[in-house]
Amino acid sequence: MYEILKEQFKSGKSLTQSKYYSTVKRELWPKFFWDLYPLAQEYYHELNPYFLFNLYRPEFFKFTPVITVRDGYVPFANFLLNNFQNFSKLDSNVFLIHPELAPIIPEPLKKHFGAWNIVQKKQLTLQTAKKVIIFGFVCDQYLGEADDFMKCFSALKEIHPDTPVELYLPIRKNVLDLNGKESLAIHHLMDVLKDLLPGRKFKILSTETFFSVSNFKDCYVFDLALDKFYVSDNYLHYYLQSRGATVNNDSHLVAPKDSIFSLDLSIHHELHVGPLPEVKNIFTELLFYKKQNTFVKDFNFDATFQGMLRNLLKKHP
Amino acid sequence: MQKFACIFSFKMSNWVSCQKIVFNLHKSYQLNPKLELLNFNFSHSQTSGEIVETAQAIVMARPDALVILDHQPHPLPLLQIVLPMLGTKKPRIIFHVFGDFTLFYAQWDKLAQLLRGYEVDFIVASDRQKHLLDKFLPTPLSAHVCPFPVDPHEFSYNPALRKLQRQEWGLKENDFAYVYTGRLSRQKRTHTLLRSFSDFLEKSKSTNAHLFLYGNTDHIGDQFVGIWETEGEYFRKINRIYKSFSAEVQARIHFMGSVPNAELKTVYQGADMLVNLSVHNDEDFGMSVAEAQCSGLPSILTDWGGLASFQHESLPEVTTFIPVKIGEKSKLIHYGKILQAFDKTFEKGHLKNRREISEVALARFSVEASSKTLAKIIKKDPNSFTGFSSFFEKVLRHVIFANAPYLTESKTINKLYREIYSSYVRNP
Repeated sequence: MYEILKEQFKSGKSLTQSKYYSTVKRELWPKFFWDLYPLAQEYYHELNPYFLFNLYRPEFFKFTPVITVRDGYVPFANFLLNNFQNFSKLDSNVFLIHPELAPIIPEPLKKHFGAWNIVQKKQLTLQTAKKVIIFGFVCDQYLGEADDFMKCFSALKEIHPDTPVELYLPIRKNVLDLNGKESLAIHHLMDVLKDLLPGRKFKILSTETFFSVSNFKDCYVFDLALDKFYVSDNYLHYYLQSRGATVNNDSHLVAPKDSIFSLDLSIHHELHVGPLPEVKNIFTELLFYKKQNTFVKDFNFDATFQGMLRNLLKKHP
Repeated sequence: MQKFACIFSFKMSNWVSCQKIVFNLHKSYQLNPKLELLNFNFSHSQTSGEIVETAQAIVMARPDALVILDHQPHPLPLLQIVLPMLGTKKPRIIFHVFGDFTLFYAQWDKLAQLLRGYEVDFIVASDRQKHLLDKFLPTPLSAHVCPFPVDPHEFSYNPALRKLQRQEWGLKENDFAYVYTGRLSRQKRTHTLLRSFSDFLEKSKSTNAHLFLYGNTDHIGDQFVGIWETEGEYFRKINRIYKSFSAEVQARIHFMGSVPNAELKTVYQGADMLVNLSVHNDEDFGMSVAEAQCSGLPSILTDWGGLASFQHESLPEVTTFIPVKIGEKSKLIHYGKILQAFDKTFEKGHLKNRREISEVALARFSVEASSKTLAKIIKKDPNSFTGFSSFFEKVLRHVIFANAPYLTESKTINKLYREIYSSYVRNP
């Protein structure tokens, strides 16, 4: 794998490079990609970061020998279920995934996969940050069950009483949902935040204000994401960490011992590649579900599948 | 007492240097006792209704002059409402034009139709920007020059801070600190700065020269010459260059990231030389250079656009200019002269006349100096606007109908680009 990574790094070729911009017809990407703003914007590094659900032609898998997968576990599982039988035809040598996606890789395909991790050597804690920004892509699928909010976000109690707290909470519909039911998540969320941080004055940030800041060095960003449902590589994390912020995304403080390749993503954070972690495999359960539900055309939008996957990953982290 | 309606975004601009410019320009107007200033917010975040509200408030105020202080948003949407509502009392209109004039031809064209018959002043920040803008103005209309002002309370000579900054950097007394502040960007030629500094270190074998870079990378590319970039692309480019240097060289180049503008006050005191190799198409002035010089810092600058303003007759040694020419495919900086500049400035060592540098710079670039310049401009009789020049029409036609208006079929820089940007070089 190291040799392939080295070759890919040397070429630097990536579908996100501006010179290939017109090669990709973005109007052919699934519509839900556009609903994911600001989680899924494109960015570049030599290991070709891309969403597999945007690769609408097999030729794109052959474009480079390495793809750094950005998909969350729902679209990634959908991809695997659709392609595991003909995987060799994709002709891409190495897929790099977030380690949390490892349980859903079919055993026979593991040789095609490596894992990426983020390393940020200087990190703050919620207690030491000079400013805390709470971010949430406000919809049920991103945040999880309202009943669990209090437990999931309890870490916010650690924020120092004098630290200013800002909220960037763009309200969205459930991106991978066919029913379009009304979400009350924002109301539950605000209730919980007020309970967790009583008496606080929150500064509310619009998207424009949020992106007009260029220096996040003393800032801790608490992402309310329950898990990696939509994206495993969140653009917002890339944006913030590039500007010095600490994000609660389990970035390592030092390079993992099994790291075989790395590159700087910014002056503040690095991408490291290593082998897949040894975890219990759950792909058979997914396959079983697929065989039982032959009528499902797109697992991305299957609420039962989504729920099952979330629970399985929770059970086997 | 004249009533001036100052129109600007109350919210800070996304462009860090422009954040300061607008508010400092406003301070310069405030110093003029003959003016009563009325402030009107016009910003990107306003709804159509709010823009109408601002327009109505301006009309109701019956100002003697409208002053467009900000470059963004373009004033067209606001003036489209204001001007037809004004009736017979036509106020003078003063535009502070920034480097992005050449990005908004279509908007200026539309605005020109509304401005006919009004007394209009265009104020730019440097002689070269005036040279460029005058090509678009009809005779006898000519742009005025008023450098973007620096607030001496923020940037002036303060030797007490030097020790603190150098301690923070971990520098010894005889170390020499070069500093760059601004976006790390293709058009700012960060890659050339890194390469040339590395070559200088390797050749001179100096062990006590350092380069500190303050700012984040951008992905603006150089679209006028056909180069677009994705986010992260330029960072990876300069990171690869940096990683190709020896460990000794890497140890002398320090990427400091973005810091609040107020922190640069200390940075400029601690540094020994500012280096800015920009060939940016919008380089109408160089706010960071003005702030550095007002802090008493000498500089190595490309002889491009508004950076040429930072030459001081009484202190010629303060600025070393690197020649630039518009080449076949891009803007070319004389690489040998950069190395020479590093060599010479390093050999010369720390300058002892930093207070004098600061005084000379403040005499030209302070809020007070700018206020005097603006007062003189206001005193002059403005010309009636009759529309932009035929050259403007020519450029506009190309920009509208061509995908890459400044490139030939073989992707080289065309005549039109040279006709516009010849103003930015010394000997076109």
